[in-house]
Amino acid sequence: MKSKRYAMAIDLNRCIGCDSCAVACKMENEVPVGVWRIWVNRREAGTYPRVRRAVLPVLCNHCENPVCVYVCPVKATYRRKEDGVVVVDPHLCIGCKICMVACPYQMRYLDPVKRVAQKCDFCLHRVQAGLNPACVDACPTGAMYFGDLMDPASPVARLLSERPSQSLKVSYGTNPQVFYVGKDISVLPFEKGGSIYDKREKG
Amino acid sequence: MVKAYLDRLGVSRDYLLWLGFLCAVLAAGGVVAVIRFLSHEELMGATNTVPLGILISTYVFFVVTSTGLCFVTSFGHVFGFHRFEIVARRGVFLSIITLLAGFLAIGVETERPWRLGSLFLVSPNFTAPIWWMAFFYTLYLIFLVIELCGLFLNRASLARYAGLFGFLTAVAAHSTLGAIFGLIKAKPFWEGPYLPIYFILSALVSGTAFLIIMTIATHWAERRGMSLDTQDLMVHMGKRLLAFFLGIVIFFWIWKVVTSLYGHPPGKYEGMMALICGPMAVKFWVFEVAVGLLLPFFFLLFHPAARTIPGVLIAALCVLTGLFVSRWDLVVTGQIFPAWGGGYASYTPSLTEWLVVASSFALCLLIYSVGVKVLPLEGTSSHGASGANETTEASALS
Repeated sequence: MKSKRYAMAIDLNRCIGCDSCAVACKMENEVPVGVWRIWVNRREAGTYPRVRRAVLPVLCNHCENPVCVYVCPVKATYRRKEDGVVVVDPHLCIGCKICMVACPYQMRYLDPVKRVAQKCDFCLHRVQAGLNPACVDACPTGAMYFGDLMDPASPVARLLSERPSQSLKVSYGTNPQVFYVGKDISVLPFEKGGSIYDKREKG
Repeated sequence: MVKAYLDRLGVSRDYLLWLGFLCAVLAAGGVVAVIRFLSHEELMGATNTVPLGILISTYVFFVVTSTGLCFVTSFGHVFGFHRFEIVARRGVFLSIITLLAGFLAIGVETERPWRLGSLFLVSPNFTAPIWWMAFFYTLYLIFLVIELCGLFLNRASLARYAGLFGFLTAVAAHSTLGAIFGLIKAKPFWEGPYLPIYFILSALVSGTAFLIIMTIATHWAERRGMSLDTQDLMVHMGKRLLAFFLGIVIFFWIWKVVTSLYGHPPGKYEGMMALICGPMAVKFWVFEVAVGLLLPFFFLLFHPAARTIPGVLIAALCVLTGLFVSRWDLVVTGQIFPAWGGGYASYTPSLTEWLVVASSFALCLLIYSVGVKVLPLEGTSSHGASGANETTEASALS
């Protein structure tokens, strides 16, 4: 069977920062209080009256070159050969937290209940049943596209063939499989200024 | 009656009180560990932004010290500098127990430590530096135990070869520990070949200081004199070795600071600024630089008291305090700049984390205190008098 390569694309022109994706993910995956698998990074830039606000939904990038997989001492996190999804086996994880430190996107968290590292798995249980990830279906503006990059007819493959795209922190050589279209993320104000990440994390 | 019984056992009441105190501290750490593993209570100060906290730095502190002790004791029976043979048994024994104390700290820090043993064998990941570190430290521990047995049985060649392999595995294990941090590209403050090399160098400082402290403290606690050979070695280790190793570490640190600031390299610059004028500044300047490096360095080099046992002891205590804070700073500073910006992340160790740190020290001191009584740790030098001979008055120590 031909292998798949699941990927996601997010149209930043359509994203309104409503957090539907984050809430749907929480409900679908029973993500505990205080931690998130996908969240919307918001940032304001400029001074009055020339102020703008940018939003950037972020989740595990399911990298082709995943450092979290390389550093895990017990292969509790691995990239599935059949579809390229990076997953965590909670029964193998020893909770050393090195994957959380090594991820350049800080998209992993320590599950406060199971005490193991966790992150987005593209809702693999839904995808294997022929559905989209919960965040994609919950997005009210249709800003999120998901599918198999090896299938030219999939929504994500079609979008990426038609429009220029970017990924986050490409200088790390991780080759992320989450793409952004619609806005130039390199000029968005996400590297400096206030972050909601810590506020979110502390719930 | 109790006193007579204790005298017959050869232990004093003070000694038993000391053991009781250490057991109590160890038990407190044990209670923390049990609550941590049996409940969902968040007892640690580490967050998802700063996942590695003071227990990791305590682990690093102890295994660095263990490696340094292995290096320093190898000078004698492995590399032929015979004056170091006096401290060989004590050094190797301390090397083993500091390693165990480090394992205690990282065992409690790890969320599911009971999976460690089997999983390292069942599903090893050979691309993971942690796996290699565990592999090398296991080998290292085995060689240390064989080396200690060789020393106790006066089997010189066994001790020498086990010591040599212990030395080599210590270098491998310890540089791999540095590589765990050095290979993380997402944390530019750590990334690069600096840490594996720096860890080896700072191990020499740590091991020398720890051996000086424990040797002098043992003689002081037992209220007995120190042989002239041992006194001479302590002063030599402090005035010459410790000062020399400190000089190298200061040299390395200067270039670490310069390369982290020059040209504002992303990540490295922010980390270094956090140290020199950010949230870590007080710890960095007061403990790491002043107490840990500059004061003992200049004291050992220029002050006449550096030729005395109390002088060397104070310098070694300062160095070890500075090194403990230095490990803490190193671990936290690497993570203090979050991936998404937003200023410095905060990390404050919780009381329970401090209890586990204290119980790691207690474990080390407890095993050592018992070991001193039941094991022949006083070494002999093949070229000089034994530790028991040529004793001077205990008052010479004070």
